Parts: sequence; structure tokens; C-alpha cells
Amino acid sequence: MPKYILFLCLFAVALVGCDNKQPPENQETSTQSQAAQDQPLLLRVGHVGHDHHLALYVAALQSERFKADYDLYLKPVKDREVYELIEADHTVARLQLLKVGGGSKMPAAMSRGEIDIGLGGVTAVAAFADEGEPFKILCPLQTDGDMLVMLPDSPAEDWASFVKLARESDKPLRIGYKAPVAVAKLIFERALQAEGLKYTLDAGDDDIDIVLINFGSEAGPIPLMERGELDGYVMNQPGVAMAVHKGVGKVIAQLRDLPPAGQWVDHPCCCVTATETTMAEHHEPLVAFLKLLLLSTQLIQDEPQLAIDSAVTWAKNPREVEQQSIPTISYVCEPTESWLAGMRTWAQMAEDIDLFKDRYAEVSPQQFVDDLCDLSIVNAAMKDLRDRGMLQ
Amino acid sequence: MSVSRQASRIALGLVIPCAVLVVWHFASRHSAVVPSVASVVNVLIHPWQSPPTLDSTSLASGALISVLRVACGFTLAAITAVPIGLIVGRNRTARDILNPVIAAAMVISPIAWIPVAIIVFGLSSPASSMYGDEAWRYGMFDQLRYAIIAVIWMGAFFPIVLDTAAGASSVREAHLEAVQVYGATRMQRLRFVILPAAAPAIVTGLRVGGGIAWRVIIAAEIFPGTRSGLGYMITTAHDQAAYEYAFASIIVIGAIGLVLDGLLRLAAHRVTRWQVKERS
Repeated sequence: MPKYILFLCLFAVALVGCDNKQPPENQETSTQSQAAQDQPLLLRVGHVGHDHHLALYVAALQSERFKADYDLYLKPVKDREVYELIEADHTVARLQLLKVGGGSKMPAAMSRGEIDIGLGGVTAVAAFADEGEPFKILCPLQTDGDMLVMLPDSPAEDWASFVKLARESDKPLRIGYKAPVAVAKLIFERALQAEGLKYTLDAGDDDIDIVLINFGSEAGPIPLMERGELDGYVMNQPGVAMAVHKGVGKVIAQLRDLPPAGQWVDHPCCCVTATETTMAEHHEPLVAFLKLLLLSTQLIQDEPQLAIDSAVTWAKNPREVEQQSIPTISYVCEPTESWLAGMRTWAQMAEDIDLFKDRYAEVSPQQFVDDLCDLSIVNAAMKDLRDRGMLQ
Repeated sequence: MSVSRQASRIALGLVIPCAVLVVWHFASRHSAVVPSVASVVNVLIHPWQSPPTLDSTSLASGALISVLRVACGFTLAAITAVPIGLIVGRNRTARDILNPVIAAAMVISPIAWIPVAIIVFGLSSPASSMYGDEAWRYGMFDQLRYAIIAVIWMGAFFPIVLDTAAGASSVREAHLEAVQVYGATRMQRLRFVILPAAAPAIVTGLRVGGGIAWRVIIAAEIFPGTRSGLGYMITTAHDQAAYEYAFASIIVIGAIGLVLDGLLRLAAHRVTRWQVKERS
């Protein structure tokens, strides 16, 4: 038997050896510590991999253009994983991009100290901060892009006909959602309340207009829609465009348009987050990183085709999906008054449903925004870019 | 075995796979999510091609890293479980101490340990232990991730311990007394009596443990920061609705599992040959 174990060990070692495509430039032990000292600061950036975080991917993919136009760019070291953040010929930091997953996975990874900067949903970050995690939102990444999708043969064509259908249907409508604290689900619940529709998370309840079903993942609703086990679902892009592309659903409403009227316009979705420690210790690299995202966002706004091409290249979704998805998302990196208002609205909603149990349980929406968001870094980045005429 | 009997065996073995293919073919014609047989075959015959519609490494490199992870976790489990199993099997005090723990841990699905493994090990890997921030340079070595290895270890460890203990405790006392008469030392008793007698049970444990390790890898590869492996490919294919990659990965998992089981079966056959002779 030891022969087999030995074989497995040798096999493992052989495979490891085979994969060392990028060995360190200097293998000698005596010079390794010196080499390590010369290495730039490493910042680990957690992201999801889909088009909400397009600002980061555009910057990574448009390296040459950023270098020529702004002298601030990401130099690829290892494709899709490691980049050097370079400003004015100076390496500010090395960024390691780690795909950590959506929802609460990003703040959970930050809480465990696995990432220094995180791109992810406002709701999950706020939930972790409420529990005492020292997280700060540095700036938004995008807003909107949440939609209500129904089966292609559903009589509902818009929100009004959806409400009518829910009221008149013999059976409760089965509407899916991705995660318990997903922005789309929370907005949808508030809209149902505003319309006076009765809904439940428990399929056993009687006298109900709508049953909400957790399908649990990005593509979870697609097989369920095809099997007719969901009548529809609320979700963010590109999960919406994916269902339309597969022919299993049709968009009947953007959640930004749901009642109470005007409340959900520019509702916050993804943001850039960092720990207080990272902010204190690495202020300059963070300013440079946010400058990069601001410029990248500007490029996305100015050149929609480049945005779609970049999303197709990075996320590897079909072009048709990104062509439908990206125009419905508002890419914004500057904390506009509209975004701040959206944050306050969201805080109010969270308070209404008792989402916060600790730090934010007793605070006003304005206090919540003031505590959770630290906009000093993005403001410094914006000022610098505006002074140099780079930001519109 | 006659040629006609052999042909009949092969034909019977192909009945269910062919039926599955037919059902799959018709299902894919009426579905937006079930991939066509041709699209899955296309993925399988281009294993080194980077998936154009999936954020993942190629099927072949995914399979390679999965095999490597399982090999590491399983080897570690074998190295730790066999000695512990021998001690549990031969020593009453050790049995009294360890049996309740083993019995309790045995019924917990290895997948349930995933959150614990993430908390304990995070994103650390052999590469990060040795090279710190430079770990990303070491590709597969960095993708080995202790957390994944630990979960595989949990899956394989307990069946091996239990079977080894059972094998060690069933050694005939008469054999042990016989070698003792000839003045055999403790090590000689272990090497020439206990180990050979327990070998069939140990190999059975290794087979069961190997099978579980291979099944666990699929769930274990959902760890944050993972960008490769068959489990990662299935999860990502589901997230991106690129189901042809999920189907292809499942077929590769089955094929590798078959080979793995064949190897362990072969090892079992070699180790237990003497037992068959003894019975006859």
C-alpha cells in the first residue's frame, strides 16, 4: 500500500511542478527577503465577476488606453488576477482580484481578512456593519438594473396588469427572489405593501396573493421558470437579461418604477467597501484606485459599446445578454445627491422591516448614511481628477 | 469467457447510457436550458479550450486541479487515518477515547464542514504559507487551498479509520500468540501479522474514503477565491446558465471516479489475493 501512497504524493508533486508557469524571478533564498521587501503593497480586491463591477473590468481591459489618456492604469501581471496600479510611472500598489461571490460573501470575506477592498451590494455591507464590522462604503459602483420578470405567456405586461393579475388569480402567484436581503426583494415587498397585496414567504399561508420563493443563485430562476414552477421573479442584471435570452421570461417592470412612485429611482446596488484599517493605512493607494474607477465609469457612460464589449470579454456572458443588461444599469461612481437619497430611503426601508438589530437599530437614515459612508477618499479622488480636467 | 458472452455483456452495459442519450436528446429539443448532446460533446472533445462563455479555466485544467486536490486530501487522510485506525483497533483505552468522537464525526456530512474550514483556513494555501503575498505566482500550488484539502480530508478520514480499526481488531489472537512464542517484537507483530491481516479492511476503507473524497470535491470547490476545478465549473456554469459546461463536468467527474474506483479495486485485489487463497 505505501507504494500507492507514494505514487499519489509523487503525482501531486509532479503536477505542482508542471504548473509553475510563472516562477519567481529570483529563486535564491538569500535574496528572497530582499525581493519581498521590494515588492509593492498588495491589496486584495474582492469582486463578483458580473457586469455590476464593470468599472473594474474596463480598467483592467483598457490598460493601454488608460496609460495613454490618464497615466493611471492597471498593468497586467497575471491576466484576470493580478495587476499593478500605476500612476505617473509609480507603482502605487499591486491589486489581486479575487472572485469571492455576491450577496453576503464579499463582506464575509472582508470580515475574515481575506480581502482589503470589496465590490458588492450595499445591503450586505450594511448588515455586516450593523453587527459591528468596521466597514465603510467609499463610493457607489452602480444603481438600478433590478427588474420584475414574468413567464412569456403571462397576461401581465406591466406593473398595473401584474397587480390586477395577482388580485384576480385563483392561485397565489409564485415570485422568486435571489436572497433574503437582496435589494430587488426588499423593493418588491415594499411595492406589494404599497399596492395592498398580501404576500408571504410561507407557501402554507391561505388567502394570499403572492408567494415569495428563494431560488438562491444567479441562474436559479431559469430552470424553475422553464418548468413553470415560478410565475416570475425579481432580480438584478444580468440575471434578468439571461432569462430573456433563454426565452423563459419577459421583463414587465423595472423596479425603479414601482410604487411608492419615485422612491426607487437610482436605488443603490453595488458599492466599493474597505475596512477602516485599510483606509487608515493605505489612503493614497485607495485614492488612486478610486480615481481609476471614476475614470472607468466615465468611459462606460461615454462609450456604451466599449462597456458591452468589455462585459462580454470579462464576464463571458453572451453578447445578447450584455446588450440587454448594460443599458438598464446606471454606472455611477460619484456619490451624487440622488444616490445618497437612495441610501437614506433604503435605510428607512431597512428600519421598517427591522433589518438592523444592533449598531443601526436606533439611528435615523441620515445618521446611518453618515456612519456607513466615508466619502472623503472619493471626494479627494474626484477633486484631483477635476483639477486636472480629467473628470467631467 | 466466450466472445458472444463478452459482446452480450458490453451490449447490456450500453443499454442505460444509450437510453439516457436518447431521452437527453429529445429533452434538449424542447428546452432552453438542457444543452444539446452535440454541444456537450463539443466541450468534451476540446478539453484544453478556455470556455468562451464561462468565467473558468479549461475543462482539462479544471479536472487536473480537482484530481490534485483530491489526491492531496486523500493522501493526507490515508497517512493519518491508517495509524489511528490501527491504534483504535488494537488498544482498548484508545478505542474508549476515540470511538465516541469518531462515531459522532462520522455522521456529519463533510460538506457541513465547509464554513468551519473557511473560518479556520481562509484563502491560505501551501503557496501562501511559503511565499506570502507572492503566492499568486504559483498557479495550481496556490489553488490547492488548505480549506478545500481539509474538507476532503474530513470526508475520507473516518471511513478509513473505521475500516482499519475493524481490520486491526479482527486479527486472530492465535497468530499473534504464535509469533510471540518465537520472540517477535511489537514492531514485528505489527509488520508481519497485524498489517497483513488488516490490509483487506484498510483497502476497503481506502476505497470508500476515496469515493467520498471525490464526491466532496465538487462542493468544496465553491470556496471564495477559487477560479478552477470541476466543482467551480459546475457552479459557475449554473450561475451563467451555460449548462453544457455543467453537463460536461458531470461526465468527466463520472469518468474520473470510474478510473479512481478501478485503481483502488485493483489495489484491493492485489492486497487480498492471499485471503482468497487462504479461504480456498
